[in-house]
Amino acid sequence: MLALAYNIFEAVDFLAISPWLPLQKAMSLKDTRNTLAVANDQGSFNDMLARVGSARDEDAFVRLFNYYAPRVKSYLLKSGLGEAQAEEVVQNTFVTVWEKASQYNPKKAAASTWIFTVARNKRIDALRRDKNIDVNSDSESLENAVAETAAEYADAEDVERLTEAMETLPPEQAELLRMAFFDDMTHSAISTKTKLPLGTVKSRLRLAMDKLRGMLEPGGAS
Amino acid sequence: MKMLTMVKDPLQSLDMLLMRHAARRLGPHESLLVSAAAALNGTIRQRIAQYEAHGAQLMCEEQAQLAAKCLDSVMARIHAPKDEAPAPCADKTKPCPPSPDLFIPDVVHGMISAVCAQKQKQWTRATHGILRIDLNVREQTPVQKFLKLMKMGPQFRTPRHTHSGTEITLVLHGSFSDEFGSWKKGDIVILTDPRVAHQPVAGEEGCVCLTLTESPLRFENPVTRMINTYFRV
Repeated sequence: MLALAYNIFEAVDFLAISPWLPLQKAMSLKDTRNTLAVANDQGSFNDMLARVGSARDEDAFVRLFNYYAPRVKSYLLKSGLGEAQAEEVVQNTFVTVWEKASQYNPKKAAASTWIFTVARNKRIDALRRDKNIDVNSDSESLENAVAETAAEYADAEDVERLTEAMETLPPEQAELLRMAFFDDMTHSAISTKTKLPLGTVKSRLRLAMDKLRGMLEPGGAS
Repeated sequence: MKMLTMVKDPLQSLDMLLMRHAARRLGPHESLLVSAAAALNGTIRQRIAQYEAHGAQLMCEEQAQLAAKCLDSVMARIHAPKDEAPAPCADKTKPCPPSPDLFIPDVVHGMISAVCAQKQKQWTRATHGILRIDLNVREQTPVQKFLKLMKMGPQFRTPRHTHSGTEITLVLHGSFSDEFGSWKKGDIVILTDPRVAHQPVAGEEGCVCLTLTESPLRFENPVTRMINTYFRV
């Protein structure tokens, strides 16, 4: 599977635009092992988060904090927050994790997914406060309002399928996802970063996207 | 379920839209539209959940040094006595139910009410045979976007229309069909620049859509469009 992914990948020649794309990382065996290790731990993190919700278990909360807080902070820094603001958003995230843990349902999402969803919403609240956009309270913020509504519709069966799909994430998908989560999503920004002509950036992205789509077609990758 | 794809701009594709939604990187307009699509369309819901979970895995890859007192501060805050928190989520004031002639699902109406400024929603005539409601999203984005509800009567044949930039359409009620297929409630259609002729025709129940464009529609010239992405439940 990995070899196949490599071949597709070389065909796409996407590597050439990637001084800024840590692709080798997404594809290396070492990293695959790390991902699996995380996946195995995931079950116990899910249990811990559920216990924080049901039993107000502080030990479990501290262990979740110790594992996830440095990762949340890394994400916040990479997504453009400064040191002080990232630190503040980490705190806000975990205070909310504590307060809302009773809403966590391990059948619907992994602990990591849930915690990072909280973090992303807290990040948006912080950015919105920066821009002095009128927000009466966190729960009324735009993304929270729509995201919470949408979250009510999450299917329990998704989680199992996700865990299966996790190990076969094609490199193109991993990379596009990385861009969506961490990078400014304009062609010109990519062009500037990669020092490639705009047209080249567009055509390479198109190729990668076509490959990705082939893998995601119903009856394909899933 | 079927997807037809002739991707012109990969950053405008549905998958990229869903990934950015999972990353909470969309502006309020797209965010509303994708959330509404997710509420109506199980496949989109599932794909967003997939991207959220993958995204969380990505975010777990790297760590940053926390400030020394980070955990202490958090523990102090969770132990602090509550200052009479007025239970924010429990009793959200329910938006007024949509009037029947809006033909939009309650869940989508709730989202629109949460995001859009105007209280009164009344159809106004856009052009012969088409009614519309312009939605004013409270939070402005640098790029101007036009979000509206469009309503066509049964069997109505849309005039060809022009617009530059991306157009995203979510079917909320009824159906429409065109050269590329028939699209019903929950289907999402993403179109970009002019290339391919396309003339939607409403189904027997008529059609109500939530539509996002980057320029106002102009119902004048016969102009063709590139069909970028169709996505069917």
